[in-house]
Amino acid sequence: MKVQVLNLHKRFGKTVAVDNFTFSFDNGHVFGFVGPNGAGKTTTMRVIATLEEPTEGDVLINGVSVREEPEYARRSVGYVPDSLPAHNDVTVHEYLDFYARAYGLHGAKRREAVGAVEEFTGVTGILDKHLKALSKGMKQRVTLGRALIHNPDVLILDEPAAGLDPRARVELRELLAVLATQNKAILISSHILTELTEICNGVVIVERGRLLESGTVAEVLKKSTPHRAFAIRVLGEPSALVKELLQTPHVINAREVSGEVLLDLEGEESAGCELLALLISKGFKVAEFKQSKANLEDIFMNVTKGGVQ
Amino acid sequence: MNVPTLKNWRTWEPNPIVVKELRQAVRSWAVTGMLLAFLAILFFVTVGFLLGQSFHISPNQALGREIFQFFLPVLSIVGFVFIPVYIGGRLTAERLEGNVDMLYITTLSAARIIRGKLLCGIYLTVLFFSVCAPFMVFTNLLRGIDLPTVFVLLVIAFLLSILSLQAAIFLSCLPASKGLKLLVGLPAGGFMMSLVGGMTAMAHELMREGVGSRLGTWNFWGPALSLLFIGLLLFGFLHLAAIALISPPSANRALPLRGYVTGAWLLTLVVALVWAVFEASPWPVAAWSSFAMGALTLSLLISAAEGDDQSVRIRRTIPQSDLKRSAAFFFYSGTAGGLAWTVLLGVATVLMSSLMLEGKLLDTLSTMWVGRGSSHRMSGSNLDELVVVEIAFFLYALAYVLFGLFIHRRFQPHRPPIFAALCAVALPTLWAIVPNLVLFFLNKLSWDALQERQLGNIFNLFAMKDRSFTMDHLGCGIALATIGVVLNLKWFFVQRAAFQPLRRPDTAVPPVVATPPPLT
Repeated sequence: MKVQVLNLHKRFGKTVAVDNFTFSFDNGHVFGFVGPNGAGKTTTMRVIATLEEPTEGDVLINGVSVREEPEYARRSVGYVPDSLPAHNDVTVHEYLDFYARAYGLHGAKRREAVGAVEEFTGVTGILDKHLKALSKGMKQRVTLGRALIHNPDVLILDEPAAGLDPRARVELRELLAVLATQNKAILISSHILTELTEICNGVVIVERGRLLESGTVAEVLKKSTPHRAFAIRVLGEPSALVKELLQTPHVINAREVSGEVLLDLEGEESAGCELLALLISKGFKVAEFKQSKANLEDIFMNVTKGGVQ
Repeated sequence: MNVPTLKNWRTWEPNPIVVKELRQAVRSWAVTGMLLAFLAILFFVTVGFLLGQSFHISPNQALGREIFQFFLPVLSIVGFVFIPVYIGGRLTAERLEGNVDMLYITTLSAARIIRGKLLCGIYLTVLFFSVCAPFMVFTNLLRGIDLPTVFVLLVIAFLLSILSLQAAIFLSCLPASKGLKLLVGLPAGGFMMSLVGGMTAMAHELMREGVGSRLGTWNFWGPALSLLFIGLLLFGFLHLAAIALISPPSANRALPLRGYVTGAWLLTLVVALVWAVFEASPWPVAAWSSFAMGALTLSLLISAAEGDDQSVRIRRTIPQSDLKRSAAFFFYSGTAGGLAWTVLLGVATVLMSSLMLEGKLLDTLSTMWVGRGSSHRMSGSNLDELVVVEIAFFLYALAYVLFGLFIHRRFQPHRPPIFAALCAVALPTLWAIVPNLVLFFLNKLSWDALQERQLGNIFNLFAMKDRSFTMDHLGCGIALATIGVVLNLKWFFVQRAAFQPLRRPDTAVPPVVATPPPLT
């Protein structure tokens, strides 16, 4: 199930919410959708979920246009919005049962689907509780259950971790990790980038309605951070090491921070090995030599300019 | 449509919205509380009346009627006000809280959502009526009211309840804020309360005369069927309009509504014609004509608010054949098509009215069908005036809508299409208010001045001191509409030319982003 966002534009009056977004993701992939507020993430997700009509461009799900065949998209997409359910006088079980009916599931098939989702999302203990009485974390689980009730191949999650406490976030992340192994195509937006790093293998970075980067995490990382960052700790005075490094070719911006020496290094992965060998040969007692792995937060900070609209 | 049949009865399941709404209603304190209060009122009122009667020596031969007269307004308040407000309020809350979005991402159609809400309201109405019916039938035993009257009044109250319910659902679907909905809802609530008053007055009249004796006469069925016909037409319109309002903007929302209105226009024309011939009076046709023109004026405003953009979903259903496409242009969503359709129906209404009222069509039909001559025709001056006022009114409305469209397109193209409709309302309102405001500040405003010739003032048509002003208004209407047409002619032809079926590019979509590695 491939999802292709093609030259997507969405305008609200004079405001350009989405300006020519093009990216794609496939089943078995978890794509992080990253950007500041007003970047166009929610609008794009609502277009994929058929809740908004694009001004221009299209979204293809398995080659089928969401503009032309919204029914097909609705059957294929499970959407978790950034707002939580607020129905009055409805229990958790009734809520899930209603959506199973709404997706056309009948009889035993519906009961099976509802039961499976209740078990997967871990809400079996609160089935008779009213939605209004649930905590945010539990509401989020119920919403995720609702999005999964018709077993969609594509899952769109808009800020699913917003407002959750650390435990609820960890539990949600575990659920998503399981879903990722179920061969679903998942697009997830979140402000908590460290969490996305652990579950995403692709990333789309947007800002002020413009797409800045998209691709695998490694690709984007390479593009956004051309230098490799290293941290070195030596026995003895680090200032000597800094002095030495500043005279070494391909080393950029060597500085001492809290007893460690931080530096950026140009070149391939072997450049790090060569540098370590050089330092040892020059008599430095290297206690620690580690490459700092950039995460989504670093990529985001490098790529975006901090603009909002 | 999910309808139980002999084939699917084993697998058939009710509309999910009905299941959800009824589950919510059962748990809701509003419904259960109202039901208990309703039962308590019925019970204690009956006991109170019976106890009161027990102190009298002579039996009250109209005790049943007196109790019934108390029950009916209570039932009417529940049916006309409480249940519509409950269902409408719930729908409004869902639409405001964003939950309705969730309905849109399921495979439930807008029609099933509205039908579900309506059915739930009908079930609740049946519940309250079935609670009340035994008490009402019991009044027959206490004398003063016959059973046919009880059942006829129950049926009328039930049908009016359904109409109120549909009206409430329609109002809740309006794309407006909570405050604006409340603003619209208050007069609607007032109207519903007045329905309760009207129902009580009608019940009093029917009980006084007795329905049983009139059931076999045309005097009863004539007005009853006419009202049922009008009620059904209104119900159908509100139902389709509510569906259109919650349908996504990319859907062809105008098609079912315009189709329905065209059908209703034809049907009401035939009914008005037959009625006029058999009643030997042109008034049914005159009433039809006035109502049709009023409705079409509203349609002009709605068309202006539709906008020019046609979604891919609409464009892919535009017929390939030139002939079919020309017909489809009038019925598909879009301002240009909507205006063309409205003007076409407006012209047809004026033509039919003129033929029937001023020409000899009505007389000829009367002679052919019932052998009567032209003695029943209205006086010529009345007819001339009615048709001319209708034409002038429609031309003014058309002109202001065209001006609104021009202003929107020329000066505020980034604003949503509803801006054009708002301009079309604001322009005649300002033109009616500002000159009179000036007169007020010059201390020259009087009732006489208001009734003076105020060309361009659409409201002046209904308050003229001299009937000769009508022709001046007609001339002014023609001039304004001509200017409006000239300003919008190019736009209209561009829109007509752009009304083409979707043509897909032949090229395949290239892969966009390199496939990432699978998760480990």
